[in-house]
This record gives sequence, structure tokens and C-alpha cells, in this order.
Amino acid sequence: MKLIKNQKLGNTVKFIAFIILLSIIILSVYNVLKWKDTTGDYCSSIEQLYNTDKDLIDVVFVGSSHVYCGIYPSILWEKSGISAFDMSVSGQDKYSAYHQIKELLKTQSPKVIFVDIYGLFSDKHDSEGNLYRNLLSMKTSKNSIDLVNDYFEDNEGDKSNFFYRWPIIHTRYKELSRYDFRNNKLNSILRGERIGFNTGSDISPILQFDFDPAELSDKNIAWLNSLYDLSVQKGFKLVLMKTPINGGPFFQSIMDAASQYAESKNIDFIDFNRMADELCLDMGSDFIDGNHVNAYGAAKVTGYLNDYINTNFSLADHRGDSRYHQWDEDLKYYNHEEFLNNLQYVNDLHDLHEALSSEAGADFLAIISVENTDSIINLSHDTCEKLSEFGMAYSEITEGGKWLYSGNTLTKLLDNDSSEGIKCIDLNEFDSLCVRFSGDGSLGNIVIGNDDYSNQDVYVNIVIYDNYLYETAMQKKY
Amino acid sequence: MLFNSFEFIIFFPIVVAAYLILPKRIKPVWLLLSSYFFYMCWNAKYIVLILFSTLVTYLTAILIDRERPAKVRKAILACGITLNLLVLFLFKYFDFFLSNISHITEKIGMGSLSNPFSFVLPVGISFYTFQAVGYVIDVYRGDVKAEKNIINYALFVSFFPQLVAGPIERSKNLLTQIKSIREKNLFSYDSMVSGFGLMLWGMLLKTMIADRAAVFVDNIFSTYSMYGTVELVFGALLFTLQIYADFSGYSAIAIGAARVMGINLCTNFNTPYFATSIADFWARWHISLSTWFKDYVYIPLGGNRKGKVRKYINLIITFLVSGLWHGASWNYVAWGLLHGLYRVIGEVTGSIRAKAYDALHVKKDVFSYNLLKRLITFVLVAFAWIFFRARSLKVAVGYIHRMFTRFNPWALFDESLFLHGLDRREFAILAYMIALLLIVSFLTYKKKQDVGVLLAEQNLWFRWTVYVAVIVGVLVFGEYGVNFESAKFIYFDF
Repeated sequence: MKLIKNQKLGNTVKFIAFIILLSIIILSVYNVLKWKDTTGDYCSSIEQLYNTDKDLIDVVFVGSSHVYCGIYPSILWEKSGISAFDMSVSGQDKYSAYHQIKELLKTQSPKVIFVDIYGLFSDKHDSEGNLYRNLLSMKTSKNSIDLVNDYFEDNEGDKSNFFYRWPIIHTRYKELSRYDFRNNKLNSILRGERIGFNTGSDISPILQFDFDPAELSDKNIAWLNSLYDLSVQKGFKLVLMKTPINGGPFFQSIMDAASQYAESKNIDFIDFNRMADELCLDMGSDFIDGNHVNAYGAAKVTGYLNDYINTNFSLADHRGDSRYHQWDEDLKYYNHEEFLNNLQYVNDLHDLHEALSSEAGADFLAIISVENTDSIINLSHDTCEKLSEFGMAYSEITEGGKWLYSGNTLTKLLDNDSSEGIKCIDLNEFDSLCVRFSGDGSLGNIVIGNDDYSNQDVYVNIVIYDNYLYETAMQKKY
Repeated sequence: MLFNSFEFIIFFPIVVAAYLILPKRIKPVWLLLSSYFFYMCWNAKYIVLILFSTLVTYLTAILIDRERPAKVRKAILACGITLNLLVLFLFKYFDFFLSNISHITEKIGMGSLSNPFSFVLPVGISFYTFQAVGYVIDVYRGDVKAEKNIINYALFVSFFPQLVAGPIERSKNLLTQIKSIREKNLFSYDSMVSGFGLMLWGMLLKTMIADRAAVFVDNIFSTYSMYGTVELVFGALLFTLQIYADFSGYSAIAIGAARVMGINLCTNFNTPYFATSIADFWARWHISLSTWFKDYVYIPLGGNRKGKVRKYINLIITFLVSGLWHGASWNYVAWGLLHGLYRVIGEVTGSIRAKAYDALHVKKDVFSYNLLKRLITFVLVAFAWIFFRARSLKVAVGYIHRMFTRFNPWALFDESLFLHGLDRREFAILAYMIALLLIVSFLTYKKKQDVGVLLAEQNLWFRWTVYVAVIVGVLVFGEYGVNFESAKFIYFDF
């Protein structure tokens, strides 16, 4: 009898141990396969929210890509020490906006929440990717289940796939990459924004329309009411807004209707379209495309919001408070991106050396390769002089070779006539640099990761590697 | 509710946990309710058909079991079977029957006939009808006593692991075990371990092989007129693997699920593609159906007791009925006929072949002889599957015609095979899984045990490694989810 009892106990222990083991493994695999993107390139504002320390956020901007492209918390931090966060996901629908605010309120107690009313323009996602970004990014909880239920109450589709998630995410085994196995550091650094300096072309100007406001649908009114009720219930100030968008008369009539709604509820409403001239928004320089401002446009929009917040709310300036170090990191990243953007326009070798030797340049590595030295006469004296500023002797330049310039220090990697064959160094946890000399202009002479950056038909080749973002930033050839 | 669904992953542990905890007298009721719930997840109203079949065969058996004149018992049996088969006919064959009649009436100028009934085929109707009919015949023959307890009997007809696609159980096996649930504890840790392993193997076969092969097969069969010999041969061969992995996978899950609860279902597959003849194939493929047809069709027709010619006729009839059982369409009839012809030709030429082998001094106890026999059997079976998979007889004939007339060997080398739904990576996964299937089949063939039992015999670390690898493999590499629609088991349609 005792033997049977012991056997039963042993079997139960085995069973429980197996379930625990299986759960751990399945959870680990889930973490690899799970959806990790709300703005592209493995950047997730939801992850950034989860990585933000508790009870630090004072201001939240909720919306779609218009928000993460147009409002930079780093600028608010730099200007006034405001701890802001962009709770923005590509194509954010109204259901997601509401539940993502609820998710944020689980750990944060913001004083003001600005909601971009883009959700009023559509009830469903046309892009499968945006549907996944919005419905699969939150941790599984009652709130995430409520979001799926609310979305599919008004839209067709198999919501069980979004509850279980595996039916959607398991096919990601075909596209796994480095950030599925290692955290993207931007998800720890950023506070929701997506910084971009590129400028679109041929963008039509934002026109002003003065038609009668449209009538808001019942769903839209219900959504706005739910936001208002939530603000009353949770005690934050709700502000409605619309970031600049080249939407035409239909969009403007909806925005005007939202403005009327806001007035009826005594909610502030900021229509950046109506303020395009006041903010001097230039379609030629401040926009990525018709619907998204770039970093220059974002500086204007965020600058206005900075003034608006300072005028209407008395929020504490948190600069210098170590608990808010994540906003310092955020600002550092902004500066890094700005530096990187400027660096691409630096072509003179002297200026390049100056830039890379600066404080901001310390995040970059430069792999300098000189080849075709038999005809080095083609390389101007000026170029050789400027190259020697990096620290190499003139004679070394004429002999050719590969160097690594980092933090004002030059290291010789390989002579062109070296018998070493190949030299490899690990740049970081992801990328390795391998240099060799298989002949002037040969492929494979400089390889980072799986990409070839060899000189080919140039004398001096400088590959600039961003060791802050772990990626090759640019290549300069002379 | 599909076995390879998240709903089943939730449903099954709940059923098993409650089954273990509940008092013995409640267990059959719980299993019955769970079985009805399981079935109603497809189409709640069709539960009426199961209830009807259950009630009719339950009463028929009780009436037969009483002492009555033989004629009366026979009449009751005929009534009971007819009522059951009538339902099957109405829901499965009436449309086929009417469309053929209509074809004739149109030809002779009487116009077409319209079908007053428009039903969706009830899932598993052929399986539970045959199981119930088999039971009534067993009672009539005196092989078993009529079951008086309606709960026991209803559970026998609707036991959820095998309700929708078999194995078609005999009352001697399943009903006897169900009756003993109230008396003894059927559950054991060993049976749970073995059953769980078998279920996992079934899941792997279904999601990693059958449904992956289906992507290619569906593409090829739906637009066969675009392809040449290479694609069409690959399509036929992959369907041969697909249907085996699909149906044997389903059977493995069904048998495993029942075994977890301590109930042993009959073996349904025994490495059929290792068969050395068509007769051998049918002794290994869908065994529960083959033996059903043998016991309730072939032997009552006279079997081999009335001379060779009659035996051949009986074989052809049995296979024709078997073809029709699989589907109300001429391509299924053709498939059955082809297998019948294989059998008859095999029987007729048996002695001639034996003489030829002797004359040519062919060694029969060597590997090459057995391999050749297996390969020939495999090719014959694979060829016949074309009729089974094609939407119609016309498509099957067109497919075969093209297969023999559009020779395009370059398709083997220009990578065009990767353009039909399975890219190089997916093909590689499928190839690895087929290799695994071959190895496991070889082991089960040699050891004469199923995968569940073989796994249960292994050391804990090995067993757990296999369990975890299969579960994670199925979750990640299995064909299921948003971009995959053909997840239904093939045999649910029969």
C-alpha cells in the first residue's frame, strides 16, 4: 500500500516537474517568436513602456505613426525637463488607443494625456502588420483580451488567433533575426518617438478647408466618450489633438467635428493642420511624406506642445533627477541621430576626422582601408595629409593597409603585404570585422557581419560603424 | 473541435482531470457529456443524428436479444440497419444518387431533378453509423449481449476520441471497457505516459507532414493542367504521404487520447507502406474499416467459400462499397474498383508469377526481392490515390493522362518545384520529417509496438526530451494558424 502511495507521489512529482519544464521552454520560445514591433525595425513603444520605471511619466501622447514621428519626448526633456512618453503604434485604431492608455495607467500616473484623433478616420486595419502591431504587442492580460474582444466586436476575423497568439506568431521562424534573441537596446532607451531626418519630395501643401463639420459616427462618439470617462475616472487631463496631416476636406471636416465635441466637453483641442502656417511648417523640409513630419517638423510641433504644456500645466522639471535617467538616454539618442544625420554630409577628410574625434563621434568606429598603392600617385597630397591626421604615418599610407580608428586612437589592423592572411575582431555581441588583403580592389577585403565593404575601385575607403546602434552607418570613398 | 486546435488543448486536460477525480459511477456520464460537447462544437444540431442512431441501434439490439423466432429477429435487424443506413444515405449519398438520376433524365429529355434536401455532410456520420450497425449485427450473431445501460451504449457510439474518424470500434472491445469503468480504475500512469506520447506523434504527423505536404498537393491537384510529369508525380507521391500522415496521425491522437484515460482502442494502422502486396496493404491500412468490411460485407457475401470466381466478385463488390463509403462520388468508386482489381489480378496471377520466379531463379528470401515487392505495392497504392484525391473521375483521368504524356525532367533541376507553395526551407522541413517518419515506422515495424509504447519504455530524460522537442517543433514548425486553411483531417469527410 505504502509502495503504491509512494509511486503515486513520485508520478505526481514527475508530472508537475515536466509541466514546469515544458512551460519554461515554451515561454522561452514564445519570447523569441513574439511580435516585437510597433514602429518598424524591432522598435516597440509597448516594450519601451514596460521598460520605463514606474510612476515617472507626466505627459503622454497617444496615437499612430503621426505621433511617434511628430512629437519627440526628448525635445520636451531638453527644453523643460518634462517626462513625456509617446504611446503610439503604427496605424493605432481607436480600440487600441483606449486599451493602450489603460495599459500605461497600470504603471504610470500621468497628469496629461494628449490623444491624436486619427482613430476617428477608420474602424479597422487595412494593413495586417498594423493589426498585429496593435493587438499582439501588449502582454497577455485582461486588458489585452478586452482589446481583442472590442476590436472584433466591430470587425470580422478569428479573434481566437489573437488570444492564443501562437497561430499568428509561430510562422515568424522564417524571419527570425538578431533582435528576436537579444533585446533591441532602443526599446530601453527611447520613450516612444521614432527619429527621422529624411525629407520627402513633391509633398502637396496642407490646405485649409472651411466646410461644415462632419457628423461623428456613434462608434466615434462612444470612443471619445470612453476617453473622457477614463480621464475623469483616473484623474488625468485629457487633450485632443491632430498632428499635421495632408488629409483633404474629409479629414478636416472630421477634425472640426472632433473640435466641436471637445468644446462641448470642455476639453482642449489642438488642430495642427489649422496651425501649419503659425508653426511655419514647410512641406519641403519638415515632412517625410504628406502625413508624417520629420525631425525638423517634429521640433516645431513639439516646441509648440512644450509651450502649451508650460502655459497650461505646472509640471515639475525633472532634469538632474537620477530617477529620470531614461530621459537623459533618450536625449542622448536624439543627439546621436542628429550627429549621424550631419555626418553623412561630411565629405572632407579633415572634417570627418574632426567629427569622429568629437565627443559625439566616440560612438563610432572608422575602418580605414588604403589600397591601390602602386598607383598611389593618384591620391592627392592633400588627401594623404588629411588622412595622416588620423594618426598614420605618410609612409604607411603609401604602403597601404587597414586601420581601426576609435575614440581618438588608431590601431593598425593589417598591412597590405601582411602574411597574417586575415584578421578578425569582434566589434560587439552581434558583429565581427574581418579584414584581409587578397589584392587591390578584391571583394572580401573588409567584411562586417555578412556584408562586404571592400575598396573595390577606390584608394581610400572609410567604413563608419555605429557602435551605439550596432550597425554600419555609412561608407566614405576617396 | 479539431484535435490540432488550441480548443482541444484546453478541452482535453479538463475532461481527463475531471474523469480522474469524479466517482466511478459518474465517469461514463461525464465522458458522454464531454463527447456530445466535442461533437456539438462542429454542428450542434447534428447531435440529433447521433442520438437517433444511438436510440435505434440500442432498441434494435435489445429487441433482437430476446428469444424470438429467427425470422422476427432477422426482420428487426433489417429494420434497425435500414433505418441507420437511411440516415446515412439521406445525408451522404442522396445528392450523388439524385444527380446521377438527373443526368439520365436529362439525357432522355425528362429534364433535371432538383434536390429538396441540402445538407452539410455531418462529420463522422459514416464512422459512428458503421460502429452502431456492427454492434447490432454482433448482437444478432450472438457474439455479444445487448447492452441495457443506455449511458454505456451511448458512450460506445459517441466516445469522443474516435467519434468523428474512427477507429471503428467493435463492441467486444470498447463497450466491454466502457462497462467496466464503473467497476474498476482503468487509468494508470503508464497508460497515460504511453497515450500522451502517441498523441504527440499524431500531432507531429498531422501538422508537420500532412498539412505541409497538403500545401504542395493542393496546388498541384487544383491546377494540374499547368504541370508536367515531375510535378504530377511529386503531387501524387506527396499525397500518398499526406493521407497516411493525416489519417494515421488522427488515429494516433484518438488512440492516445483514449489510452490516457485508460481505454484501449484497436490498432488502425500498421506501417501500411511497408506492405508487400495489396492484400497485405489492406491488412495494415485503416484496419478497423477493412476488418469491418471483411466481417460484415465480404464474409456474408460468401467470402472465399463459394469458389474462385465468386471470391473475385465478392472482392470487387467489397472494394466498390468501400470506395463508396469513402465518398459519394465516382472517383471514390473508381478508387475502390482499382483496389478490387489489384486484388483480383494479384490472386489470378499469383501462381503464374510464382512459376516465373522459379524459372528465372529469383531468390525470395533476400532484401532486394522484398524491397521490390514493397516498392511495387507502394507505387500501385500511390497511383490509386490519384483517384481518391482528384475532385472527380474526369480530373483523375486528366491528371494521369498528363502525368504520362508531359515529360519534363528539367523540372527536377530548375528549382521550379519550390514554386508550388513550399519553398526550399519548407521542403527541407518536410524532407526531415519524412525521414523521421521512415525511421520511426521502421522501429515500430521491427518492435511491433506503437510509438507511445516504445517511448514509454525509454528512460525519463529521453522521453522528456522527445516530448518537449515534439511539442515545441509542432508549435513552431507545424502548419496551422492564420495563413493555413486546410487543417481539417481528410477522413472527417467520410
